[in-house]
Amino acid sequence: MSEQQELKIENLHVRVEDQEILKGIDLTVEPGKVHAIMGPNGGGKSTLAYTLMGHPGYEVTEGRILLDGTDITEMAPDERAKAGLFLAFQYPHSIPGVTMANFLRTAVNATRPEPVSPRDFRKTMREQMALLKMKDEFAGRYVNEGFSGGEKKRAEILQMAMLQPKYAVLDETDSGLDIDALRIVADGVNALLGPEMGVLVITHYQRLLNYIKPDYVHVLVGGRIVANGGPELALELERSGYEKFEPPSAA
Amino acid sequence: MTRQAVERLSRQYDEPAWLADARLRAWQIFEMSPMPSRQDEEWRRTNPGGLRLDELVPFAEPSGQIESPLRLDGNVGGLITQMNSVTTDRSLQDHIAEDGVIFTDLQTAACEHPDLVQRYFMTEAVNPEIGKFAALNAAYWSGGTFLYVPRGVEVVLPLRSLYGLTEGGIATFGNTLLVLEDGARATYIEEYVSPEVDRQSLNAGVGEAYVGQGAHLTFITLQDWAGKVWDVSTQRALLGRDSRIDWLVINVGTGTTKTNIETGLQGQGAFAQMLGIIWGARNQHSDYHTVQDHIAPHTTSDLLYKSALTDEAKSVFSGRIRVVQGAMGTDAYQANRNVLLSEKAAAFPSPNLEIEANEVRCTHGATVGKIDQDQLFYLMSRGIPRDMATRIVVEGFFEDVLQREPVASIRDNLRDLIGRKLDES
Repeated sequence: MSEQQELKIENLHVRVEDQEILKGIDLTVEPGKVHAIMGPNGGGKSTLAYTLMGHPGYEVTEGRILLDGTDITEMAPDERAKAGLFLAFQYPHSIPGVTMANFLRTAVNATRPEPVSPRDFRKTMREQMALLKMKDEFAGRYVNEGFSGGEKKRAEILQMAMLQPKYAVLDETDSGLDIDALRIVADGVNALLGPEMGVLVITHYQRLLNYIKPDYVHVLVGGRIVANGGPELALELERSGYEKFEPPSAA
Repeated sequence: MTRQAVERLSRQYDEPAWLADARLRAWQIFEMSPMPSRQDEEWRRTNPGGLRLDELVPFAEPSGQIESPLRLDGNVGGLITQMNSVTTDRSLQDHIAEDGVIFTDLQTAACEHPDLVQRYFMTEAVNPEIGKFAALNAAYWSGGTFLYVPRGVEVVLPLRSLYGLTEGGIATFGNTLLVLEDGARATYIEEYVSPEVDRQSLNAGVGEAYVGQGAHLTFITLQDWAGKVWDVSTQRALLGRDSRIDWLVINVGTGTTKTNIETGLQGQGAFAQMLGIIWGARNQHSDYHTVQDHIAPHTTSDLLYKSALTDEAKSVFSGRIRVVQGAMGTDAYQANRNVLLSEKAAAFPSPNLEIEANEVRCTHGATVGKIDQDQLFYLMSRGIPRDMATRIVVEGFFEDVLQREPVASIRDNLRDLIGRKLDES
């Protein structure tokens, strides 16, 4: 009785402070596939990311989220992470006084049935940091405290590498990155891609998709997915913009 | 509590006349001074009426068991243990004693080194006239701690005192006197601890430190009382020219604490670092009044007190920077940070500047905030359960104080203690 291996979003309606932001999203992410969600600002992209991870400020009023057949709609964020979901934050929060190494070890041990030995943990962390071109001293810095934009995004990908989720949501991972940093981050993500992991890349610009190649592209405007396609849709959007998908304005 | 009881105490310990007289004078002050009330500025946020002084017995025999909250052992230069104000154990490594260092209970010191003790004991730093509870301490104290470090001597290993209170319905009178002569260095760690007690008890403590010219004292004072214990104490350090104190106050357990922590910077170039960590759970109430008293010119003080509170715990911080006339070139800093983990926890910071000199720099800041839900969400999104995420944020909150705490060897003990307390709540 093997459950369906997929992250499935069904008719998802989400409200934030009395305003309905998502108005019925249907989307399925399969292991081994990269889906991109593109759309203008205010279209609901980040709401979708936070809702998937279970932020308490986002209320699901209708629909559900299934992870490999398990309904995670009501789960706390830590339970979702244990189930195999990961969110790379657009704006990662700093935790003063807590070192990256300590944070990562706690997170790794929290998401596994057996704790890893300190030695294995350090070895893996060093390897992953080297792939992301991070210096060793990075492990001793406080989580996101005083990090540059590029360091924050690399730190997010480092966490993803250490936690090895089944489904990863990357929320505007390209924002605030120069071209070199973007390449390092994209290389980091690509190194993690494989038949086991499904990825949902959320982005405003097509630029990131030059480095992380999507299998599918979806356009999110006004809380609904208004178009689906392959990589060519992203290129088309780059040329024509989102205007033709925008609802007619009242003005 | 009576005058006869004070006399009996002096007779029982066969005390020298000057000490017996001092006790009786203190008793007189106690009797004459009014019980503080909430109308007094000092007691605005701590109701002294909650303390049933007349139901407390000022003596008790040692009983029960106590354990060092910091779980320190082994590598110390000396250790004094007392229970219910009775000294039960004391030690000092020979090589330290050979340098002329005295580390013993205050009663023994008063008999064996009367000149030294008489010169310093409750004369200048804290004297019985400052208030009713200091007077009560001066009348009834027993046990206590005396540290004397001669000129130029450095004591490398920490010296410790463990003050235990093991019964309900009693009052103890912890008393610490630290004297560092010019150029001396020492680290002193004291822990106040009690098991759960069935009724209200009180520790009315006094602490005094004299830090000579160019001397350096590291002073760690830790409170881990049970929920029915009151602590009303005053500790004051006087700093000589170019001397330094690093002073960390930790409170991880109390019923009601009303404590004054004061430094008097009396010598030019003196430096005081004052640090505080307060963890409050259940209905713990801690009320700290700090004073950074700049008496000599070109003195520096730097204070950082942090509290994290859950349940219905309350934390009061009243921090005063005083710069007397002529103390130009003073550099004083004060920060009080509070984080609340529950709806009913509350913190009341009030900074207070009294500046009578020109050319000084004094800055202060206080904040009270709830625990950051976005930080919790971020940690939880990595699979860390809410309780553990909260613990991580609070530990991180205290970490900058620990990083400034000068005894690196006990930092892990402090982290473990705070972690244990967070787990208990």
